[in-house]
This record gives sequence, C-alpha cells and structure tokens, in this order.
Amino acid sequence: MAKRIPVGWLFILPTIIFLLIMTIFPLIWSLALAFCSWKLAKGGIESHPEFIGLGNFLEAINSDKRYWSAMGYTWLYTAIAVTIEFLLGLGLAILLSFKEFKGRKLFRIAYLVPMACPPLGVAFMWRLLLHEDVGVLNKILMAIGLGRMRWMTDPWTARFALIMVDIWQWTPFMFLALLAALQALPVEPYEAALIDGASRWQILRYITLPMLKPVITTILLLRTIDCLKLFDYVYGITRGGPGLSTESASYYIYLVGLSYFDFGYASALSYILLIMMLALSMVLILRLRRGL
Amino acid sequence: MNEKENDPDILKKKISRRAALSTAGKIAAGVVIAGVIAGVGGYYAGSAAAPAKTTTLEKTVTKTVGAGTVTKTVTTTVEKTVEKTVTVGTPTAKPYEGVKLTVVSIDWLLCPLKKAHKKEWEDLAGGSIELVAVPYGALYEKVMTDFVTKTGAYDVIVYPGGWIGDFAGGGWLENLEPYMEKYGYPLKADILPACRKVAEWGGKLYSLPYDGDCHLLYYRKDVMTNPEYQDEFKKKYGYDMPIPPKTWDQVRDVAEFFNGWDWDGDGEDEYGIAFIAKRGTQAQWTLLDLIAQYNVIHGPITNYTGNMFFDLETMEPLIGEPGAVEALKMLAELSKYAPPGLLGYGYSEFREAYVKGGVAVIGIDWGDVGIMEWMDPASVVKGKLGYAKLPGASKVWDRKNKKWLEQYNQNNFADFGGWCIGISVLSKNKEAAYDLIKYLTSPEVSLKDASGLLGCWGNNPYRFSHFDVDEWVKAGFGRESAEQYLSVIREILSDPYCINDLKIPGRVEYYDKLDAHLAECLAGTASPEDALAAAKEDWEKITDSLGREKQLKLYRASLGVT
Repeated sequence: MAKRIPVGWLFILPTIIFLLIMTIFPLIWSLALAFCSWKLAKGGIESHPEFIGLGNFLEAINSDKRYWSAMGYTWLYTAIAVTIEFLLGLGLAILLSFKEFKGRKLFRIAYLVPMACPPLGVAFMWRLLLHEDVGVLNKILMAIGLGRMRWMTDPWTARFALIMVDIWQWTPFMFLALLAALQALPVEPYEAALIDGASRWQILRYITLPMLKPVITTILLLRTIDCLKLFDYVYGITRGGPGLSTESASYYIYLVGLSYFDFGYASALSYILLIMMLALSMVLILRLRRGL
Repeated sequence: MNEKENDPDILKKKISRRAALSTAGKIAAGVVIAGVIAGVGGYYAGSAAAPAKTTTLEKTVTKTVGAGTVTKTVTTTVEKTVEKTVTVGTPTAKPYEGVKLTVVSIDWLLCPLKKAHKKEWEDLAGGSIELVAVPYGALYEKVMTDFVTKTGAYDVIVYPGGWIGDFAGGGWLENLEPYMEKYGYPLKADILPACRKVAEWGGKLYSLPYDGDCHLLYYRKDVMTNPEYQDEFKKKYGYDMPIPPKTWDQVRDVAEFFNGWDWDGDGEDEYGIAFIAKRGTQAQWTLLDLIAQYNVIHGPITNYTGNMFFDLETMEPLIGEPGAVEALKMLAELSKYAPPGLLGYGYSEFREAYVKGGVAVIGIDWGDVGIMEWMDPASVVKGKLGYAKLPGASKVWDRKNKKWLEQYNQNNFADFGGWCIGISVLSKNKEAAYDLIKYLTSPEVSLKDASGLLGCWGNNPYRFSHFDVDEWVKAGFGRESAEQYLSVIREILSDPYCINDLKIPGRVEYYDKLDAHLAECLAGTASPEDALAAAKEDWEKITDSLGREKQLKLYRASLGVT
C-alpha cells in the first residue's frame, strides 16, 4: 500500500512552529532563568546566567517589600475596577436591552470608542486631563466651586485616578458582552415569570443573572487577568508615583527586567505573578464548569 | 480509493506521496517565479533611480577658501559635467558612499541632525543616516536590549554620560583612541575638563562629549528687582532680597515670599519655586544638588572631601549621612512653595510651566531652560531670567569627625554628566561612525547646537569655544543674558573641584532606587530619615549583587583615585 501523508498536520504545522517559537520556548527559557542569577551590570558582554536554585523566589518572598506592596496595589486595583466595570456594564446592558430606549444603536457604537483606543494613548491623554495645574478636570472642578483635586500628587487619589481611567476604557467591554448575552437569552422564561407575577427585581435575580452566569464568569476572568497585568496606565500617567503608591506588579517587574537588567530575578517575579493569576483563573473556571 | 482521502476530519485526511510531491513542487515553482519577478522588477526600479553611467574626464583645480584649502575636482563626462568640492585631507571625495548609519537617542538630541547635520554629513561623506528617536525612559532599555541580543541595530549611540559604566564597562562601546590617532580629533584641549572626564572609562575615551550638563539656579530677575517686593521682603526677613540667593536658606525665604500670589499681574496666582519632582523623571538630581552642599565638604577628591556617593575604602553609601538627610529635609520644605502639581512635574512639564507658564520665581534645571527662554516662541520669560550656580549651604556634615561644620559650603555638580556620543562594538561601519561623531562634535558644528541656532535645545556648552558670546547673540540671545548664562556654565564646568556624576555599572538601578525613596518622602509617605535609610539599604544590596570589591575599584577609578 502506498504511504499516506497526513495533510491536516501539514496545514497546521506553521502554526505549531510559530507557537513553539513565540510561546513555548519563551515560557521554558524564562522559567529556567527564574532559577538563575543573571544581572547584566555584573559582567556586561561576558555576563551569563548562573544557577542559584530557588534563590530568586526566596528573595522575592522574604525580603522584597516593594514587590508585595506593588502586588497589593495590583489586587486592590483589580478588585475595584472589575467590580465597578461589571456593575456599570450590566446596568447599561439591561437599560439598552429595552426596546423603548431611544438612541441605543448610536450609543452602542459611540461607547465603543474608549475601548478602541490604544491603552498607552489613553494614558497620555488622561495624564494631561489629570494634570493638577493645567488639566481640564481641575479647571472644571474649580469652575463649579469644588476646588482642585490632587489627582497625581496624593497617593490615594492617584490610586483611584488610575482605577477611574480603567473604568472609563473597559466598561464598554463588559457592556457589549453582557448586552450581546442578554439579547441572546430565550424569552420563554420571562413570559412565564410575568404570567406568574414576578417583579423586575425577581426576574433579574432569579432568571436573568443565573442565565448570564457563564458569560459573567468569562468576562470577569478576562478582565481580571487584564487588570492584573496593569502597566500602561502606570507607565503613561504616574510612573509608579507619587512615592510608590501606584506601582503595579508588572511595572515593578518591568523595572527589574528592563531597567536594572536583572533577568533572573525579573523572571522569578513574573512567575510568582503568573502562579497567582493561574490560581484565580482555576477557581473561576471551576465555578464556570459547575454552573454549566 | 482510500477512505481516509475523503475523511472530513482534516487531521485524519491523507494524500498519496505522489500528490504530496506534486503539491510541494507547484508551491516551490510558484515561489521561484515570484522571486524572479520581484528581482527583475527591483532591478529595473533601481536602475530607474540610479544616475546614468558616465564616462569621466577629471581636471583638478586647487584654490584657497577661507582658512582652509579646498581642492575642486571637475569631472567632464560624455553626458554631463559633475563638480565636486573636496576638503584637503579627505582620502576620497565621498569616502562612505553607500554606508548607512543608524543613530539612536532621544528626540531632543537628534533635533540638530534632523534640522541640518544629517544632510550636511551625507553630502560630505556620501553615506546615509537613519535617526531612531526613543523616549528617555525607554532609551537605556532599547540600547541594552540591542547589546544583549547582539542585534547591532544601532551604530552610533547618544546617551547620558553616567551610563558609560554600564556601556563601556560592559564592553559594548568601541574604544575611540585608535580612531583618534588615525583620523584625528579637532581641538581636544578645547573640551571643558568636567566634560572630558565624563566620556572617559578606565582612562580611555570611549565616547566623545556631546553636551555639557550641570544644574543652574534660574530666577525671575524682573520680579526680584521690583523695589516694592524688595522692601516687603526686607521687612519680613530682615535682610536684602538676595539676587541671586547664595544659600538654600535664602532660596527657601525667597520661595516662601513669592508663593501663592499674583506677583506678575496676570490675574493668576504664581508660586515661589519649581523643579523636577516626578517619580521616574530625573528628580533625584534635584536632591543631589542639595546633598552636594550639605554632605560634601568642598575640596579635592579625598574620602572626606569632594566625594559624594560612596566611602572610598568600604564602598558604604554616603546618602544616609546626616548631611544628606538635611538636604532632603530642605527639599521637602521647598516643595511647599511650589505649584500644587509639583509631583507631576517631569522635566517636560517643569520646562513648559516655568518657561511658557511663568509659574515660579525660582527654577532648578539644566541649561536647556536658558535656551528655551530665548528660542521657544511661546516663552513668556524672554530676557527676564537670571542665572546662577547652585546655592551653597550654611553648614556641612563632617563625616570624618561626625559633626556639623558651621561654615559656608558650596559645590558645583555636573548633574547627569552630559550626553556622550559613542560607537557600538556591534556596528559594521565603525570608521564611518567615527567620521560622523567627529563631525558632530567639531567646534564649528557643535557651536550651532550649543547656542540653539538651529532651534534645538538638547546640547549645552561643552567646549571653551562654545562660550563665544557673539555667536549666541547671532543665534538670538540677548547679549547681557548670553554673557551671564555662559559665564555661569563656564565657571561650573571649569571648576577643578566640580563633582562629577556617578558613572559606575548599575547606575540606573542606584538612581532609580534613590528616586523611588525621594518620591516617597515628597509624597509624604516616608520621613527624610526613613527614605534615605531605605535608599542606603538598597544601594548596599546593589553593590553586593554586583561585587563590592569590583564596584569599589571602579568607583575609585571613576574619580581618578588610585
């Protein structure tokens, strides 16, 4: 019998090669680096990785207060931003799912604009808006008698300013996903509920939300992962300041890896963050599966 | 027919070997045909752009032009006559024909090349230059990544002199001494002493100075010479308005006096002082300006005088000393008399606010503000600024005897070190690169950059010949301002005891950690003592991670201490 060649594998071979080079190899290489010490300033052109076992991880866990402070802000940022984005997105989606709401098509298109902007561009735009002396926001606040806000010069205000920027840009994502999900829901349960005399709140709580659970879990997972990777707004707006109040885990890892060029330590920090993100993702995925 | 040939599941579908070879052959033939078409098309496109070939007859005429001698070569051809003007000494008319150089730096430093020098050099040397502009915050990362990956994307690098420890110390920069011997270097003795030190590593020149840097104290002389304000100041503080302030205590008094009211009559309140304070944007140099006064006894470099960063025996960081703490306390005090958005002032925001917004009486910055004052069309302070060297302190910490010396102490400090221009070891066109950097740093060309004649303000004076006041007046400066501005910079950079900036490996990390703790103090989340104690601890860790003995040796070498 003539030998047959599996043509399907030939078609997906380029993709496999691409994934191996761009995803699998960097993962393995960076994991190996996490167990090594490799600081460019130490040897320059002759420097190379030296195996040190768990040294980087122990240093990060035991003595790097700045990393854990950055991690703390990252998780706080994620919890607040994702929650508010979800609530706002759900509210808007429910509002626009009513056919009586005029202008919903136009609103749906216009509201896409923030999400379509590149995050760094958004950061630079907001840096100007939030400027304490010449920014438009403070000009408006002062014009209406509310006084000047220390957007980027007070540690806590700056923390919430970045959250505000995130909400501005990514609530549309929640809104669009939830609106699409709402519009795809079957009408029969609602008809039955209305016949049984259920109130709007009861319909929302006992029919809408349970049916939306898979979509909600998915979008919460996606936005959580995105928020945990916070970098653009920190880099573009505050550079981690005032003080270290808005320094995120990713921004600190960037400094360690690409300013100090301490590759081994930066890899270890990245993997610690990755493990935490994976743990959270597993929890959400398990909930999602149970829901199905 | 084999069932698997019709299997709808793509992964289980199979074809015969003959069919596979046939398909592969067709794909290969298609690639070859496409390549031939592209190659032929490219050939004709190139031919259309290329000048027609000429048959040449050469006739050489020599004549004297200005201070030099120029050889003019007239080439007569069958189709056309080509004239070329060649400077004596150049081996061939266009020695680097076809050579492409890539120059990387921040936009401000590439501005003179964009406006004039790129084309000048290309016309002279025949090569071409590609300019790569990178934001300051990303420059170190971009260049080091190129080094580490050995990509060799950049031939010429314009970089902060303080990075020479990492760049030259790391073996990434070409030693320029052999090139200087072979091709010469114009007027080496013309370089200011402080600027020459910045470009050296291990006693050899690994770069050429491209900019001279030091902080100046700027002040609104139009405001401070107002008789009414002077009277009120004297009533409040009991002494005459100091023009310029000579100590930081006087700066504090002046800043407090002018803070929070409309002293220029424009209907808006202004402030006493402004400076770069934003995290991650060079704010640590403002602190180092004060540390130089409170923590470093003026004098030649010994362990206890003229030495700002580390103990010369033990490599212990000096930033935790009481003098440094006093400096940070003063800076925190001064920040109270600054615009509310001070912590958002990177160097761009500060310069915009001070030069175009006129927000404060006193400013602390590099020489760029002086050039912007006159060259920026939106400047509101043209002719209104006075310039002074850094104020001193009325007391200084004596580290040896562990006590305060109640005496006036003032140090000049070459903040940042100045920008240097060097050649990457990975460059494939080093000779052409040296020709370019020699051209850019030559006295005539660099004077245009330093004086802002081209409308750029990234290069500050670094040669004695840059202090030709007439050239600055021609560039657009007021004569009185030019005289004062240049005399202050000259005094600072000619000072034999001028403190040079840190330039050992790891400098980026040392300074980033200091900047982070400074930001904490200015934001009110750490006291000056705690902030500098934390910074000192971080510096110790960095030194240990890089090798204490090695860092000590390099630090001593960077100061010229054997």
